[in-house]
Amino acid sequence: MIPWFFSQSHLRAFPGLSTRKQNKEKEQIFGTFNAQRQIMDERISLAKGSAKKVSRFSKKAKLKDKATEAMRNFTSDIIATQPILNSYVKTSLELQMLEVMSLEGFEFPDMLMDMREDIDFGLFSVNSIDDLGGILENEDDPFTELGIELG
Amino acid sequence: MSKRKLNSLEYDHRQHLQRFTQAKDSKGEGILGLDNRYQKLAGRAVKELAKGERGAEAMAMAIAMEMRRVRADLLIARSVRALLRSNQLYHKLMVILIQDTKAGVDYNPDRIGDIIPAEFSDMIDHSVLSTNLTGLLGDLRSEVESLGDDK
Repeated sequence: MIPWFFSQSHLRAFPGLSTRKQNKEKEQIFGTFNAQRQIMDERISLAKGSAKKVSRFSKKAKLKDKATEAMRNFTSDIIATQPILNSYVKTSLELQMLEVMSLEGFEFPDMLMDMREDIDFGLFSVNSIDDLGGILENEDDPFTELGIELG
Repeated sequence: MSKRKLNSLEYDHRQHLQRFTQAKDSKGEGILGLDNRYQKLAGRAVKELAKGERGAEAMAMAIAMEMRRVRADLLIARSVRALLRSNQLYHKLMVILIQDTKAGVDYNPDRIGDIIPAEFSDMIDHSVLSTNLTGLLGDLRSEVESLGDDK
């Protein structure tokens, strides 16, 4: 069975488009990718800033409440970042797939999948966006491995 | 098909094979870079956690947030490499089939999957999403803790 990712109609149509139309589509997705990447970078940077704030407040007994509050906000910011990470992964996969499809001689792996059903295409093997989110939140998550609970 | 047509077809598939081999190698270098970045971040996160302070724990969380993104980039890159490899494999198979056709070899169409060259066997035996980073954080923690014991 062809995974959902490879069966999306706009991706199937892409290799048949003119170079100009291909470039236009890539530019559009690249714009979304850049915006999502920027948001991710900003949130990581903000999280580091907030961590320094928690550190500063924690060192003074009278600022203990402020430290707790800062930590609470910080944790919720991290939890709130997961949806944008999921979208970023989908956009990045799509963008990189368009780049690969632009290479002369590209073939969808249909024939290979007909020959062998057990070829693994990683994130492309997912059958829905929910699957993608599930893989990203599996047991290899750095928070889990570091023993950090986000609550 | 005439020998002339077969020669021309073989030439085309060889060109495509070379193109996809180069693209796959380049992606492999990118994966190496992401692996290194993840390991550096993991080392920093574990060192922060080992300090045992609230502020340091917050910093470890901020670093883990960045690790999540790097890990996502790594999974994307591995998946894209699998797609590039599937195209490399496709063109390699076509070159083999054309050469064998010219040499008068008969194939059973149902058994073409069995001639997948050995160099591609890991596309079937290994999971694209299994990175060599699993358990890395646990190892680093033990390392840092044992350094603490020595003091």
